[in-house]
Amino acid sequence: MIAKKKIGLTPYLVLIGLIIMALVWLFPLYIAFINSFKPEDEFTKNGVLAFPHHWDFSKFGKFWGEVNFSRKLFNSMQVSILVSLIAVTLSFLTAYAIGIGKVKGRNWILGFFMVAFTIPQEALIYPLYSVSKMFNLYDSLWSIIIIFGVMSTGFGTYLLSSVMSTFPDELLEAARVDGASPWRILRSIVLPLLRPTLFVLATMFFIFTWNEFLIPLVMLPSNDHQTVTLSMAITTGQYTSDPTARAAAALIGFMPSVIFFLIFQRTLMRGITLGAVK
Amino acid sequence: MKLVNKTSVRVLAVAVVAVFATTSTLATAPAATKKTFNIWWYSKDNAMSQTWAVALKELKKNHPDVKVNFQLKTFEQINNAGAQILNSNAAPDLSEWNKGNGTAGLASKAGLLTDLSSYSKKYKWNLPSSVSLYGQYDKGLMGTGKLYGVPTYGEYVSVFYNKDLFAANGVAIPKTMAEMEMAMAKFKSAGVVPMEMAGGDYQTVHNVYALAVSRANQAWINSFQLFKGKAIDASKDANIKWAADTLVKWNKAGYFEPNASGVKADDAVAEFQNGKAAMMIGGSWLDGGMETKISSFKYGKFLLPGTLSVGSAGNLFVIPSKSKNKDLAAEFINMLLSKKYQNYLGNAGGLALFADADAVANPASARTAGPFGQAVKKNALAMYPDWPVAGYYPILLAAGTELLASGDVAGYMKKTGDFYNSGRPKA
Repeated sequence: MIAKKKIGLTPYLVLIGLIIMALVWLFPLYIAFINSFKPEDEFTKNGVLAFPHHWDFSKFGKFWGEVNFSRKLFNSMQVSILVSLIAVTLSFLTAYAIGIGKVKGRNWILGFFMVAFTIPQEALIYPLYSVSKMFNLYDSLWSIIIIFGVMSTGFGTYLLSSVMSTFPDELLEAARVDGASPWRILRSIVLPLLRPTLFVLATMFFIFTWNEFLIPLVMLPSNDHQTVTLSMAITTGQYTSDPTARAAAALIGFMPSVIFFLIFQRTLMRGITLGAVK
Repeated sequence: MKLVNKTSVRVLAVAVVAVFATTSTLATAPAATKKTFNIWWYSKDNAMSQTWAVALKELKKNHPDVKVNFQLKTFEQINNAGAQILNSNAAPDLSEWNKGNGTAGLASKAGLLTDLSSYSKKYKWNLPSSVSLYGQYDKGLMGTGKLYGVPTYGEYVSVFYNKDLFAANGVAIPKTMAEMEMAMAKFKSAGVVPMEMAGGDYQTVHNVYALAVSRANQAWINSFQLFKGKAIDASKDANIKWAADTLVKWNKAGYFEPNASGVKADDAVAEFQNGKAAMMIGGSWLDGGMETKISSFKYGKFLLPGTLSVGSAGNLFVIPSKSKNKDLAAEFINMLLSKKYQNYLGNAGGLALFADADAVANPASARTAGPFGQAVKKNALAMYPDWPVAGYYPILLAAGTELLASGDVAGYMKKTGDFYNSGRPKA
């Protein structure tokens, strides 16, 4: 019994550690939450940390109307969903060629893909601006869908090809002996086994794209084409800013990506257990 | 059991794409049949935007055949992507714009802005040079040359003070820098924060410059800002060095809050509005907030003692070269310069450039217009610290924050001075 107790202590320590970490992670969320409901005069008088006495719901409506948030939300959804669809599909295919197909010069190709996500965006922004104007895509959502689609594909290829290069050879061999074509192997063997990984990637791409700021800022001048992150900048003026409105904007700005994550979190867990059974 | 159904995923994907393709901005919009007037500004919740909105309504009424498409932009966007927007077909017909060499100057040099001289003549704007110089650029340098933008209001930096704390501690409005320091010492010994100071934010940049120009003359401004006359070596300049020394001295004497280098402007302003400090150096763009948020005490404004004050005409209205409705845009600028809207602006609490003094009745407007009038009368507006060279602002901010944290004046002079000197156009 004593030995059992000793083992029992470690999980509790881990649990306490995790709870502390969770609190640290949730703290900014809590700050955004209380300040977005705090009337402005209370913010001025009692500061950032004080709990609101009166709950003021007006800021959400004001912000929503001021920036036409429904439109921004729709734009961001389109961009993020399309980017994760495009990027997951493309990187799955390219990674298959590199990781399983073992094409010649794959290290060079991988190095090339890495460039897409290692160069800082600040350095890419003006070339991207010129090219998008050349193709008449400036001020179009397609410009950032393509840009982020390609950047994410670079990262996805890098990640997936290293996953696929460790793919059990016996499985592939067995399939080849049975006369399966590369296409057939891709669809019937690799895809089902990697599905959980692909969902993780898609979720990551969605959230990354959702949070992008600089490139959409430069590429999308018209208000009607802007994304959620850009609309949040309305709460900061040239010399002035409105901290409580900013908190409200931040709260409704990142909610969709949290909701998205929560939904796919479940799919994700199911996918992982599915893999484990096999 | 298969929980992630292949077909359902596929159907979902197709449905998503189909919905987007049919309903969305991804498809190109059909060309509008009515003439559209695209106008942008980024001022928000202040006297200017309020006045402009009213004027825009009148413009709409006068031109029922035109569809007015107003977009409220963010400062962030104009500041970061302004030149790219002007250089594209997404450019508006008329927009508020930042003045200075790095913004309107650069755009005019690249041919992205319309020369407004002929409109100025047509509408007889007759702008005094102290106003028009902010819209005039010659090879991208502000001060003289063609008129590319028109300011319609002013702004300046002065000292906000807590009248109740001044009275309670027997302090009068300081008239010299020595009196200023005596006042701060008095507040300090009474346990009141003498001066709000957001060292991690633009207030450092403004405060150093406000101190520097309090000892400068017009020739210094002409050289430092407009590059006319004898060049200033900013790494050794006596005014700037005195300003940096003074800031460090005040900080060491405890006239700012402890750890001032980490304070953000929002917090500093909120603390002043809360009655926690006796003074704060701040711009007229804070007037609106002061008026609505200060309830527990009386406040006033005075100019920092000395020769010149930080300030200028306000943001410009510019007509991009790609504007499709230049005449209409000029008509709107003309409306904003008219007595009607200048007086409206003054009463709304803005600093009108051409308002009739007796037409502005609002006491809050008078409070801010008073010191501004003094500064304009002495012709003592010294512009803003970051204007002379492009990219100067982040340098000034980083160096200023570091100056407060470390007290290293020599390092500040070298860092900011070298950047200025190398960015200054060669004579």
